[in-house]
Amino acid sequence: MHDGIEPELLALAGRAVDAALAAGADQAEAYVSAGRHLKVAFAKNDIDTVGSNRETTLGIRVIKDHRLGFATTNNPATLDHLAQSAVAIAKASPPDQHNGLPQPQPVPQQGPLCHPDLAALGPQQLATLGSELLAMVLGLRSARLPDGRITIDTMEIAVQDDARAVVSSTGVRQAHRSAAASGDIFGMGILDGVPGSFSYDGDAVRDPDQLQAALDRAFRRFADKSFGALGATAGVSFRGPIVIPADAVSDVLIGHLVGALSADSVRQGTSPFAGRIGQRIAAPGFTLVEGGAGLDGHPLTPFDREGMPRQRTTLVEDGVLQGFLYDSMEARRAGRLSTGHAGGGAASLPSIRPACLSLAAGDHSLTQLEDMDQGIIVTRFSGSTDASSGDFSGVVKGGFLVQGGERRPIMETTIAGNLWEAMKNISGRSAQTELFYTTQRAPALRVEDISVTAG
Amino acid sequence: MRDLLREALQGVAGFAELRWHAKTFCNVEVQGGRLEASTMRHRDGIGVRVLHDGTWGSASTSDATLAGIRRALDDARAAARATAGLRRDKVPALPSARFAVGSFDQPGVQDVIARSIEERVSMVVDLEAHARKASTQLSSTRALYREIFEEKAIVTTDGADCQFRLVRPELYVIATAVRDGQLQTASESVGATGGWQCIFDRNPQAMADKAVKNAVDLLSAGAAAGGWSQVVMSPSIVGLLVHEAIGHTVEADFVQAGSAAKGRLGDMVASELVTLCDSGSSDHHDGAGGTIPVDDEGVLAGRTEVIKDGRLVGYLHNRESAVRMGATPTGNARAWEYADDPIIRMRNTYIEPGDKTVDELIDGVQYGYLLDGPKNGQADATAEFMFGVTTARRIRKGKVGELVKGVTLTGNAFAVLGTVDGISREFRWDLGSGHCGKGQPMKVDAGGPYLRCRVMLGGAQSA
Repeated sequence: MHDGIEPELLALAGRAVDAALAAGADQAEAYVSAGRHLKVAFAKNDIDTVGSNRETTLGIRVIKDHRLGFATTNNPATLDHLAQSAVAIAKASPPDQHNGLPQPQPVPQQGPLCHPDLAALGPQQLATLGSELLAMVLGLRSARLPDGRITIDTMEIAVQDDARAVVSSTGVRQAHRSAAASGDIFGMGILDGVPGSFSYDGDAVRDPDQLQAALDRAFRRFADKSFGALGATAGVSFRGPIVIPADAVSDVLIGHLVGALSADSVRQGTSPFAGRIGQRIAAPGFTLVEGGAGLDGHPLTPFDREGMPRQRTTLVEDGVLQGFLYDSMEARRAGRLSTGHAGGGAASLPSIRPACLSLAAGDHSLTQLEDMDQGIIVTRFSGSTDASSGDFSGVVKGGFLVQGGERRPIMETTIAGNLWEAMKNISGRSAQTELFYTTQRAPALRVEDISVTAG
Repeated sequence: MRDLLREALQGVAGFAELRWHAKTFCNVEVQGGRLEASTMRHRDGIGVRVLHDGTWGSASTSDATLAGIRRALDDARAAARATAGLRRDKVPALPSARFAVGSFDQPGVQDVIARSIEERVSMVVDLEAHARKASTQLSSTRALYREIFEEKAIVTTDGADCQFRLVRPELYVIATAVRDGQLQTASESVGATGGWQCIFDRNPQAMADKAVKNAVDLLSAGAAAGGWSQVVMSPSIVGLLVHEAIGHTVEADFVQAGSAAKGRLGDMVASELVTLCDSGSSDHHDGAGGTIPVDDEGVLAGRTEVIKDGRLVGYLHNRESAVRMGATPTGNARAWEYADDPIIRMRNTYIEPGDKTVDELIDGVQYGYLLDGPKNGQADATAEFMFGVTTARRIRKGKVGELVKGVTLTGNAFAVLGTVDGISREFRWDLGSGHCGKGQPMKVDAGGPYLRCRVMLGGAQSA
């Protein structure tokens, strides 16, 4: 990737829009992404493979007689054929009065988020860092089970350097470049040849000077979870409180909640929160904000998939529903402007997604949250949640039973209930929050009255 | 393309593998009478892997010219050289295998790709309209058609030289029912490898009717009692069981990392009624959604017995795991797209049919459940599995009764398979829609007969 690639991508996107209009579109939008990805993969406690990829992807969205069509390719040289395909798809589609492209909106200036030293990281540097981190993790020991060992199934250290541009016939014209380095680890603890439940963790940074520290922190957290899952025994069945650590909050709750607070889910009749703005949907103190162009100190590309400005949006405040996330299509249906939450890239149509989320801290310490006569710490939840009904049921992985002041690892223990009712039963949030992948911030949560079944 | 790949490998020293992989996705989605999406996505390129000093290097490029491929070969070699000094356990010389040479096109390709966009769109529009009219208690109905058309050419320096095309159509119907502010969702889906007849054999309108009926019935359903229970599983649930509970545990990379299947070859791990296989072909019934003639290392994808008459007899291998574990490559190396490296994945995983009727299985249950309608699932290193079930009907003294909702099944895979005491003659592939996740997505299928066993249900506990 070279400096100044943004004008080239804008020019390519502009040619694609022209081609689509020439093919018969009434409106056209082109989204181009160009990326360089380098990764070093580890497996089974050793370096496995080193790989790289460079690719440019072009997606063309067209409106023709209120009919929508979309086509995408990773071969931009075929953009004329691609434009014709998009128009042909539109012609074959039923019309909808709300189909249309957004008008341009002012987007705050944000320079490239691309540290030169990070983009220059090569395979040897990533492999060396990964090997050091791997050795660190494999050398860790548990005070509780000194004979326990960590084994890595997969681990990856990667650099992604991406630029994107979006141009439309309505006047949208935006481009931006960003780069990040990341690391992810997946494995388990083993004691006397018997594996524990698997765990995973990871992080991402934009500043290469922060990479080693960030991954060291995340990989030690992974090791703690892996050791914690060793020596698990059967739990007990009861109804009572659970504690969800900060790094499990997204999987257990926030991911499903945000899906149900997307305007398309509301319109489609699959969200239980339709018509409930201004009503209490969670316990007091529960405040969830979509951070727009980035959480504090962690800026993102300032525009969304449609080139609209990303806007900070309060979804839930003090337990009361405040609003939904919109892209331009849903905003048009609702008679308002987009909130800048069109997600996706060149390979897909826009769809509503948050860019970054922050759940407010509370005022309890972790010790206070875990002070239970009988309760479960849900280190990881492996289950299914129906976002429409809120019903959830699944297995607690690497979790702990807290009982009579003792804490022991448990296996084959399921929790079940209704997520939307559980949100009203959040009895505590930790005073400290944690940041994950620079885009998710959450405290630990305690939830009362959950069904626990042990095998 | 094979000619180009062969030319690119001329004069290459050591092992190299070139895989040209083109994928065209079609997606049509209709919700509430509105076309939400009609899209076409094409992505193609060359995936390159080399071995240098016992170290893998890989690269990928969308530049499918001789110069582009040779640049990618150079990048892969440079990557391997840069990291060889850090690799402790060198990759041994890869074993020979039943390499694919020639053309291996799968049936149904021309039938699907020749269909017009209008035909795809009108099929989905009509299906969603049918579902929407099936009940007055619906808040949402959605129908989706997805299609993947793949073309591959794979050439290696040690003998693979093949190409093939296949197509995988899928159809989904999702219904959400509402009453007094409560929502319940149910869905039906089918995914196959082959022409449209593979999905139309399932009668899409009947699928829509079933999804709507289940969603409405779930509004009145109570919760299952949590705890151990005897169950009769439909083929879709059997498919989830074999995929999540066993399949991942016997993928050789996971075995090497320490899964619960490690060191257990030769052990009894299931009832002797159980023979469990993973196959590249569509055994017993056409159209399995994970069918591949050749894997992404150019190895012919045959049938692999994993459990035979209750005994663990094999793992699922790529070439590297096979040589490390003294086995034969089984054709399980698969990559989602050209820029992904092949890793060990399942194909079509199933339990062999038995000799009972479904009624005989149900008749033998004093108190339990009949399970149908797969949801998501997940495996674990411990062989503990989890998956969700949409509909569970109570069985009392051999009679099927009322519906209960929101059930999760869990247990230790080997322990649960050890409780299998009845298997039906009927066989069905029923997990071909959706995909498996393991770092990359992948199309697989799973299924089998109806089966009776004991599992733990995650249901409601009273206060």
